[in-house]
Amino acid sequence: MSTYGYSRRVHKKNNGKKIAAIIFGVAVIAFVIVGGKTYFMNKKVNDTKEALTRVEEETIKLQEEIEALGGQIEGLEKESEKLESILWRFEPIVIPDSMK
Amino acid sequence: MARRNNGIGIVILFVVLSIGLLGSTGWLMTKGKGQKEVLKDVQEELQTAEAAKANLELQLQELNTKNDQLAKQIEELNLEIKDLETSGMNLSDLLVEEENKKIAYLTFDDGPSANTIKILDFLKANNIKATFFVLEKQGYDDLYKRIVDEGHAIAIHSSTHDYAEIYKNVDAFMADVKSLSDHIKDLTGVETKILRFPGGSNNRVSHRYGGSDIMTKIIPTVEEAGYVYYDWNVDSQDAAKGLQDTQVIVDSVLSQAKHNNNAVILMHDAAAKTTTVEALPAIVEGLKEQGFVFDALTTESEPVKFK
Repeated sequence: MSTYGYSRRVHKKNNGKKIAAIIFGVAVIAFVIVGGKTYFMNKKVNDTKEALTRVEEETIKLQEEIEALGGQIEGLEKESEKLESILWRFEPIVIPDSMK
Repeated sequence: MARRNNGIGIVILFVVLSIGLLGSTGWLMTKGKGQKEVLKDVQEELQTAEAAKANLELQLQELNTKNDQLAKQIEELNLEIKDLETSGMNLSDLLVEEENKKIAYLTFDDGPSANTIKILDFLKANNIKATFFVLEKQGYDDLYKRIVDEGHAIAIHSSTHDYAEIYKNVDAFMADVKSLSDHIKDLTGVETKILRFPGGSNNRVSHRYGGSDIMTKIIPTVEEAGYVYYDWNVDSQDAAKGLQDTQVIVDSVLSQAKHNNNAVILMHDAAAKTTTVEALPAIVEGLKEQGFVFDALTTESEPVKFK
């Protein structure tokens, strides 16, 4: 009888260790999975932020180029107007039909 | 007993570690949710920024095309100028700075009339803009509109041009201006603020009806109402006679204009002024030879005032 009681106590102790080990294992697995997901999420966020910074820098460069080109075009338009007004002086006067 | 205690210790250790790990896992899961929102926001920002960048790239492409077209246009224009110089024309005086530009403002008073049609046709054919100081006339709705539609300045002269009526007092003058202003606005949508006094700002005919100081009262009232008035510094003399000689008109304009860089030329497009119309081609040709370009008056044009 006492032998049976002893083996029951031993059996209970071994079960306790197993349960603790299982819980620990599950906790480790859960930690690894969630931790991994969090790591990759952070990485994605950082990569996206870097890409955003890059695009913003390129946008500023484009805006500067556009401003410079706009100024150049303004100058060319004035030059073109000036040349056209010079040439216009030498165009013959047109008499419309209503004045003939 | 010691072994038993070790065993329990290991179990407690595993349990504590498990609690720690599960707690950390829970914290990571909460952080992960927040990061999901952050990622969504940043991705949206990136999308918007990329779209804005793509727009700018397109804009830059269009500007580059425009730049190339203008450069080509200027090259062609320079070739044309070179051809003219090769044929013996001296263009060096014309290639001057903006500040020395000579501007001629052709102004026509007392229209519209049938003559206005011919004048508008001539101006259109020769790409010239002018200024029309109109009266309030019925039956010429299309001409008021044409003046505006073809890029000329429409301006106030008088509703009635009846000196006795308009110059009797300030209120009468302003009522006359308002009537014409409303007429122009109803027909064209333009609320013009350019004005020329019948007889000019230093006229004496007004003294008969409103006293010798009537213009000193009218002028500030007109300016306070937001109008900018223009007299003239070149008189075509087309009003000196009922029907002035065409050559007299041409000679008057060209002889006076050459003394001004900014020539405001008084002419009339009333029904009787047929010789003004006839004189126009020679006037324009002569002014071009004198180096003038043509423009319509605006409220910002260089002032020409007697008073």
